[in-house]
Amino acid sequence: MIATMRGVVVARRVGPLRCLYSQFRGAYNVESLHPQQSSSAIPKVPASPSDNPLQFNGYIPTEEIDKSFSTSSGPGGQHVNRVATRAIIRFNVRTAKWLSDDLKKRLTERYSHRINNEGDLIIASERTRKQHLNLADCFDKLRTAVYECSEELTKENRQPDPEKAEELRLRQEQANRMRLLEKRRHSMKKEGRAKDF
Amino acid sequence: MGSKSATERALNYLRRAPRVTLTDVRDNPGARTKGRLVRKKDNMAGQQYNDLRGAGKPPLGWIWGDFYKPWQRIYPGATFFNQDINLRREYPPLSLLELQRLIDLGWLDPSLPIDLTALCNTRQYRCDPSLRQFGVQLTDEGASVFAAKVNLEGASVFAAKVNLEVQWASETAIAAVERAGGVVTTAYYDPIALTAAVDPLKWFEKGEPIPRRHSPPADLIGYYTDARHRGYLASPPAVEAARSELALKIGYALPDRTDDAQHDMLAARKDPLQVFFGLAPGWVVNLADQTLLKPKNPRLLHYYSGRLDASKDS
Repeated sequence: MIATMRGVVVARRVGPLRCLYSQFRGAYNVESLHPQQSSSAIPKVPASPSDNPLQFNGYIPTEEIDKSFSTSSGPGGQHVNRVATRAIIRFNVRTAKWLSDDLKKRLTERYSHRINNEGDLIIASERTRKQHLNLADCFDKLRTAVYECSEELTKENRQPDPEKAEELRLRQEQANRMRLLEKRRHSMKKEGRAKDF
Repeated sequence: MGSKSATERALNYLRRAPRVTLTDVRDNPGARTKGRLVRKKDNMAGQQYNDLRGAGKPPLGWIWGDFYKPWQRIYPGATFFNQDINLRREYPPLSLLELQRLIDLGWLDPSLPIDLTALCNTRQYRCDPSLRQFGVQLTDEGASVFAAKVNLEGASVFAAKVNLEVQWASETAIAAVERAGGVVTTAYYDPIALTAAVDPLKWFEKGEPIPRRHSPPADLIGYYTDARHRGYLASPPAVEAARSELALKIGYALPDRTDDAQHDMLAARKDPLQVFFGLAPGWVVNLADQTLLKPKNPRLLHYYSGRLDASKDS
């Protein structure tokens, strides 16, 4: 194999760490595969709360939320008695910087059953057998709760579109006309059953 | 006649042939055969013996005979289940618990990138390409039940900061490694490259040049180009976005990467054609003389650089 090569370069021994990350670049290196990344190709992950006070973009600063773990309930013998798989997250709704005032208010109203006297929203999960999955479930519940409040607020505060209003009026008139037409038809059907002597 | 190409000759034949109908587009006799199908008489051909019913079961398809005549080979016509049994890929699992154990006991050095080669060199993990095994599957067992490693939040977490290159990884396993400040990449190794990777010493002793890795097959391209799986063919900005998204989803804060001491190690990635860190495909490792032999022939350089075009200048 080596004898048929026209030439051969014999490299001296190099120290291990210096040559470890020396880069070989083939035709399929990652930069060539993705040369100009269009901004739409990369998903945008929120890194800060939304500017719109009624909207929630999914950002939750996990450092500002207290996480604690305890043992779960139910059957399971030694494992359930000893391993802390139940995850509990809590934070004070009033002092949360990542929630707008509107969202705070709505959250307090809708989830009053999860809020204690000090104003701490507490969410617990023992859905799975793993602690990290239960923690993920807690955050999932929190995110869902805030999303629901945000959707409610957005829906309540939407401004009616003038073009839509005109369309709606025309539709209502059409519906009224159809209703009266059907009423007349029904009436004629009933009259047609009467006997004229 | 000899100067014409096969296409030309075929077209000439077609021009002179009578009208082609649907009956002409049929197989030659004996071209296709149906495999033997299961008949009524074959019912209960196997594991009905009393003592065997409660015993540990033999490999899939074994029916009372030698192990080289499993059911799916005797009845190849029964394709409704396990037809592709011989084509399926396996990924022997490696849990986070096992990985942490290997690091703690000194089998693995976390200050160097950990890839399939490093794992196989420990001899505590085994991957056999001849058994259709395609690499390491990282599972999340041990992500939270490792009591010795407790962080400030009171959760027990996987604690080693590693640069891992595996072949398959679950989402929660990726989350556990990234939470500790490590990096996970999933990369595909075709069977020949895999043979070199799992036992480099044996490969070098053969005197064969280091192979170039080939691209994943069609059904795996989607996996390895996806940033959510940290695929080696995904774009780096998409992988960064997926990292932040996963942190939000699972509920941990991404550690800041200002620790420059390990930055080079954590940023180290192999080229998609590369099998070993620091070694390029096409090189021959001479262990006896402790030297590397690199090819100079342009054709070889062209091939090992991964180029597909017919021009020999690389």
